[in-house]
Amino acid sequence: MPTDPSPYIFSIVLFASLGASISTLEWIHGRRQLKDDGLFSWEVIGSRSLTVGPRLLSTSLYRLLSFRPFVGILILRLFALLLLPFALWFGHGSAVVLALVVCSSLAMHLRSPWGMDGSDQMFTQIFGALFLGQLGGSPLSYKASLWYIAGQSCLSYLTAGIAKAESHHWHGTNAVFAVFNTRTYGYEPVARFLLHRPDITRILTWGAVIMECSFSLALVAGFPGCLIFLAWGVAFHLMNAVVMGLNSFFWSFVATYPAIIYCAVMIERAHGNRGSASWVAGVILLFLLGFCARRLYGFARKRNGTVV
Amino acid sequence: MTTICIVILAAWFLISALAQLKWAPTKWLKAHDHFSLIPNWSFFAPRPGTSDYHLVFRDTDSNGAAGQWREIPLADKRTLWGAVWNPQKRRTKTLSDVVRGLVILSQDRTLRDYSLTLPYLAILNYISSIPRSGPSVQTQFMILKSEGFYSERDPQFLFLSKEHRL
Repeated sequence: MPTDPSPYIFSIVLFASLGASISTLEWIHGRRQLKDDGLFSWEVIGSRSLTVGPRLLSTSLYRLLSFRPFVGILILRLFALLLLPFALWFGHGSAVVLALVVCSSLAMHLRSPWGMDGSDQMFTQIFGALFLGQLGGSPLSYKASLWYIAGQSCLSYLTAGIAKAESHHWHGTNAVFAVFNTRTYGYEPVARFLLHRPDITRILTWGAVIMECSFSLALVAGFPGCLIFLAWGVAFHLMNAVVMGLNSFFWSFVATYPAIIYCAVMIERAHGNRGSASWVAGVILLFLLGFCARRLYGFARKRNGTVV
Repeated sequence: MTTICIVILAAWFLISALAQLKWAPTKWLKAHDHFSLIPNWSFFAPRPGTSDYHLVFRDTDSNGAAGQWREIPLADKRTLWGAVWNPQKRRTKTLSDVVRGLVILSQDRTLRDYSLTLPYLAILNYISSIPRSGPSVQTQFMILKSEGFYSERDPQFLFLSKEHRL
């Protein structure tokens, strides 16, 4: 596998641009909700304390984020996303195009105090890291952006896994059934299938928790070992897209996988291809990290009276 | 420039990791993070979304007679094509978020008037904009909760709004 960061960055850009383009097109398609009588009415959202501060700020935000200008931002974002792979391929202006994408992401988050999901957060992380990498303009900064994306990806799975393992709501046997049984995130044929099959529900529930907790092992599994974890991730997000309608999650999370492959290859090289040693070291490291995280969660819960 | 970018990336990652633990300093940062730069990765945890919320509304005519309750569907029928193209999910997620936000606010006993909160105004604005066929003068909405396709329990009442002039 190559150790040059360029092909990995290009793969990330391809996946992330495609996914974010679909997501942006969905926004443009549902632009009626951005009007003053819609769910994202700036008349309502713009009444937040943040946006009604100094007159200059409120006027500027109104000019930027009310219906017409914001639809303009979405169209500009779409063009920037479609242009990004070409800018990167030809090596011209990718930092400027990424800056446009990042600014539009920030505007979307500011415009929407609700309705944004985990895939939007991951897109912001990916494009933000790629922008900083391109801004640095050196092989070292490109590598740092890849390490950042791989780190965020592993952190997301680990956090989700530990939070589920810690939660008593997930300790019952039917958490997955209960989610798939809802109209909001479920699918009636799947709920019907799982209704009288508690064993399958239990396997799905704990399978998801265990795989999310252990996903970070992909970093120390080397190549092609890491593909086992990534294949699970692809299947997991594909299932979530079909059953739960979370189509953007597929693109945003799978877009981080080239960064994980890069880091796995680099870690394997650093250990002189001693794959088994990496595995053992990784298992111990993950065990320790998990133990520390568990203790820290307990500590944070005691201090704040909340659970993540 | 490379050093600055790497330092920013390292700091960003460190803050993100600490924010997952909900430590007090990162909680303050998260509360002021209007651009969602600090992610929250605890999907469907600690409490998985196992309930459906139902948003219903009714209008009152000029004689003071209240009409039937009508439901605004918060979820759409899932299709295979939805795994690729799902523009409705944003509306569904938004309606769920504002309804859930209002339910959480309604449990805050220190709050005197829910009708000035952002989720309340968003729902009212949305309901008021729905085209009416008859001469309605006032509207009112209600939030109910149910537990999905296969549930033996009836929907539970959660919230009833005031009546508002259209």
